[in-house]
Amino acid sequence: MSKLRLFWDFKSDAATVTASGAAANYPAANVAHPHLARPWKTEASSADEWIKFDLGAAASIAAFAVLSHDLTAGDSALYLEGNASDAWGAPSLSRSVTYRAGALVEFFSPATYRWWRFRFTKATAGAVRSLGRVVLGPYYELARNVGRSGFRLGLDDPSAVLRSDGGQVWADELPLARTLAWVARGAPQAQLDAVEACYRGVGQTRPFLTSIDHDTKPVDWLVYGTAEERLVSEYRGYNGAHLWDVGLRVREAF
Amino acid sequence: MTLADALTLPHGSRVVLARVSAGERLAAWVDNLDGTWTAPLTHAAEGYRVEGLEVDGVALDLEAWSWDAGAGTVTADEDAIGGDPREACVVAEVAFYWSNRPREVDGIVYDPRLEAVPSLSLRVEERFGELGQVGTGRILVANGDALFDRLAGLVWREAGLILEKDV
Repeated sequence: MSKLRLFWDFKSDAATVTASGAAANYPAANVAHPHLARPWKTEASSADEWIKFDLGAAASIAAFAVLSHDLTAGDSALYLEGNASDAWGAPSLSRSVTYRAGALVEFFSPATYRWWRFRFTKATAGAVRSLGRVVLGPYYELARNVGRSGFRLGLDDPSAVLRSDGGQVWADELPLARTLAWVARGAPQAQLDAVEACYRGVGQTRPFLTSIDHDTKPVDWLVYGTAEERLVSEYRGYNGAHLWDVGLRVREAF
Repeated sequence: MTLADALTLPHGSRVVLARVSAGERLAAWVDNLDGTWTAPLTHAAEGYRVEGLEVDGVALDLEAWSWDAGAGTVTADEDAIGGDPREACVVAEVAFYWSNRPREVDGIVYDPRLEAVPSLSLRVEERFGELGQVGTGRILVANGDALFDRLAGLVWREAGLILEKDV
């Protein structure tokens, strides 16, 4: 079991993004756009594909995620690579990425490189793959985790529903949105500072990632969403220590 | 399930597609010395498509000009323009494609910028029994990123709006 992790400082969003190729209308730079519905799509000419990030300067990276992808279990050789230069014969970091439907997420010891690349081999050269968002950056793991009843996961259907007098339902269907509310009680000052830094970075406008327990539920308990309300932390002084109840509410972003 | 089947159901997904067109006056022409001229599009980063070119109000044939989306430039044939484009008023017709939900239709990606299904009333003249004129309507376009502020330089006179409904 791992503690809750916040992943918001996406260094990759400011990077120069290039790829092995891109389908018309779906350039590689789309993965830096917050909307998952604006993906990078591969071409259908070669099985080997890659997407590359030039961060401009070396940066410490400890988390990597690919969201809203349609890679399949038949695709192979998924690797995250990092290097000091744009040369990929023997990159300094080469890490196998575990395939998971829906989202690929990796947390690892911080590595500092300017160039990063995610590569994979499609099951067939003629296949087209779509990656909605690819992000790289540091992350923060709570020092004081949420308790046993410390988080709530929900699923909301915002569809517009009209009812006739007879009780019949007429509906305009909208995508269901996952919601998450968590609180960590008695957290140290450093944890409050980190959560505040997250909130200052994203406000209620920029989607970020919350992984509740990566070891147990790497995808089901991963939420890409925006903070829903102001951040209010409650002070809990105890025996001279400065402790806080701190938490966030998040709504899934698309 | 066919479309006909879907239409019988009490639930569905209302998708509206909008094409909004405007003009961009082209300047800073560069002579390519091969019988063509190239001009940059000032607002190329805003996600529109160039779908026409007019010289002094006259539309050029499609073969007489080309648009390079990656470079953000328009190149036109000198003979079709009728000489030096710097001595003419050359306007590119640019089109934005927006929808209320993400869609790709006929190779065009619609940016989900419409906040809701637009309202629109059509006036039907009783004596003629056909659609008369467009009445009032309301279309809300998300401008949280100040897109329209950046587009102030476009020519919106004679701009157009086409709404379509998809499923």
